[in-house]
Amino acid sequence: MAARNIADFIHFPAAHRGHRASLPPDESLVLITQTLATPAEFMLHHFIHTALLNARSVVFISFMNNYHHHASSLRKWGLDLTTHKQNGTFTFIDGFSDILLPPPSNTTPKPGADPRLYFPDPRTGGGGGGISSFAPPITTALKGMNDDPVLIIEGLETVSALGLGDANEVLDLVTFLQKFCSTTLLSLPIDPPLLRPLLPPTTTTPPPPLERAHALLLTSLAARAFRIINVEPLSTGRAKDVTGVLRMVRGGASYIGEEGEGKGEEEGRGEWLFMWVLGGMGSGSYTAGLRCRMSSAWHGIGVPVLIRNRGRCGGYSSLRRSARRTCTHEPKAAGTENGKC
Amino acid sequence: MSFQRRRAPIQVSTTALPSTPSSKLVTSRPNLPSGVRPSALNGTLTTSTGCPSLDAVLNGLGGLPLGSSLLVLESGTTDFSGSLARNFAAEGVLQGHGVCSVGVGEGWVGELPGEVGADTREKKEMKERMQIAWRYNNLGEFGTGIKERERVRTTTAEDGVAAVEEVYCHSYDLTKRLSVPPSAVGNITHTAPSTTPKTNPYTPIIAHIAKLLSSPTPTLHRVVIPNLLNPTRYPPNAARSEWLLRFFHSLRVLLRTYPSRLVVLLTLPLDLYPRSTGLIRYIEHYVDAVLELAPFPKPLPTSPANPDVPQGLVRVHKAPAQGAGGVGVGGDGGDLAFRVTRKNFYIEAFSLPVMVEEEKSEEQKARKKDIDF
Repeated sequence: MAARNIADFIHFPAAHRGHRASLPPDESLVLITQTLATPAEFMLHHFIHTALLNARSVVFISFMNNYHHHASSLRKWGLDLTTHKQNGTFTFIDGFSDILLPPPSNTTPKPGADPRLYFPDPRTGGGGGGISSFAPPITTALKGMNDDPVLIIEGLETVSALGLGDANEVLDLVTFLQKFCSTTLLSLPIDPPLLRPLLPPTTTTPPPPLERAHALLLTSLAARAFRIINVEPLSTGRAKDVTGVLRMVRGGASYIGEEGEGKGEEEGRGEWLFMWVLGGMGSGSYTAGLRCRMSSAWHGIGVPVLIRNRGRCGGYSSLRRSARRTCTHEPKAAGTENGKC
Repeated sequence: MSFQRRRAPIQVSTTALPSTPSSKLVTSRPNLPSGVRPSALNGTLTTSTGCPSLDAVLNGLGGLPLGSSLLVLESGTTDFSGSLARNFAAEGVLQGHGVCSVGVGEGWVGELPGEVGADTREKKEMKERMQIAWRYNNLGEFGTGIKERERVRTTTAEDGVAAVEEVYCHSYDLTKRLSVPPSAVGNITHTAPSTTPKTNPYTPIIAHIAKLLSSPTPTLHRVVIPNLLNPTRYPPNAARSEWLLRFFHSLRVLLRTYPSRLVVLLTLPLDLYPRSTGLIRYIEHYVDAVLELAPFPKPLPTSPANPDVPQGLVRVHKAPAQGAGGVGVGGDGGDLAFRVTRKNFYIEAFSLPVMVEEEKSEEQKARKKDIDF
């Protein structure tokens, strides 16, 4: 089993039937899930790398790290982000450093600085807009790109966890931003403690609002996603040469209008074992630092721990309604439904 | 995999080539603050946690990378993580780093373990190192499988006159008290959460750390937060998810904004806040490395064959990212166990002790006699 790069495995169906694309199609959302033991930052970096290499423009919003952290990581992928920023093909929006502060009084930003998101607290008065005030700087950045940009968001769950807004407000923000970009990629953690509201209740106390908000966010985005990429540790324990499992499955939105599609949707599903090779001297370029090995079989595994969308729904909004309904009122057993809706 | 060619930096004399701004001519070791060394794995700057076997466990980096935070969770009523925190703070004091203790009172710093010189066993080890075949050097001590990098490095100054001994990680003795060198007294500070009701209790902590970072010396600050959310020190509203997560968010902002100036160690007792809650999982996502200590409920039986019995298990749930978005916990799949002695906090590979047949006790022998009339 030869070791190959992520780009060899992660494919999406292209506009022309029978072809493969390395980036998701237009007007789609891809959800990347991660756990504590297997962070999925490398997947985000992979998509940034792929997009910039294919001459697409990228807007990257991070709520968990600042620019310096990502720039030093992406340098090892061979990307020089400063030149891309100058060419106007890459914008980094810092939603991390000053997110807890109100917007500064002098609103003239320094030239060449990354746009930062501030949070005008609606509770303190003064007409603060809450999360909806994140939209203008992001949309100006999206509109300022040369063509339809790829929007990549890291750490979206922290916006509701920090108490900046409701999960529904966060989802509305994402819906709004999707209008201005061609495709959206998000990363969310799905550790088991965060999925407790989706399981049958074991105690009489309801789960805390933090977990409920996270579960709502997760199920709604999974139902809206075209593809879901799971980065998980091995379910059977730890191994010396395997870091985890990389799995790509169809998300809820890929089932819309399926009656006519048939075979076209088969592209881009599979499960692979991956190993993160700790970079050492002589290991070559950093993209080779992640080696995927094909597992012995292609699995058509459904969404692994989440609910399935409840029915063949015609539209996007009804999918979301069904997801929300299932999440808050009827916690279903997770992981058992597979295939059939 | 083992025969990787190491590309050493090419040493060029400064007079040969005209200096260009893009090339770096490495003629001398860059000036690092004391107690910081580049990792053997990928060169990220790391500093010692005060416990050499913990340094070895941290995903092979040999220390805690600068600009990262380590959360130590402990289940049960014991306080093994406290000894880790004390070692961490003592290491900072002896290396001249700024040490800030949070939420433990002023007297905590006075109870840090004292330093002892390197014991003779290590000196003998260094002499014997040459006699072992080179390929076994990576295995570390027999049975542990964890390699501890050498902790003492002697360098000679440029003019070759003085031999300066740089110690990366000191040895401590828990029964002794640390005598703080006078130069380091000014580096030790303390802060506490505020108890005013209805306000965020963590704002004074963040403000204090930010103030420490605003002055250029000392270059490296260590923040130790033992027993976070301890009910005796922290107000009841400190566990509100909003404020606790904002605290961790602000801590992460400080760590990312000053990546080479801050390291943080936190300990949290798990009995009140178990790992199965979403709040603790969110905290673990915010922190860079997570270690869990699970002491055994009953002590394992000791026998003359193995007198050093582990006292609990160690689980590494999240390893510090190797400076470039590294992934995964690594490890060889075996369990790790810890053992706290007067001298040190040892983390070793764990295997169940050998079953030894128990001898019949005196009572059972006497009873047997009574049954036989």
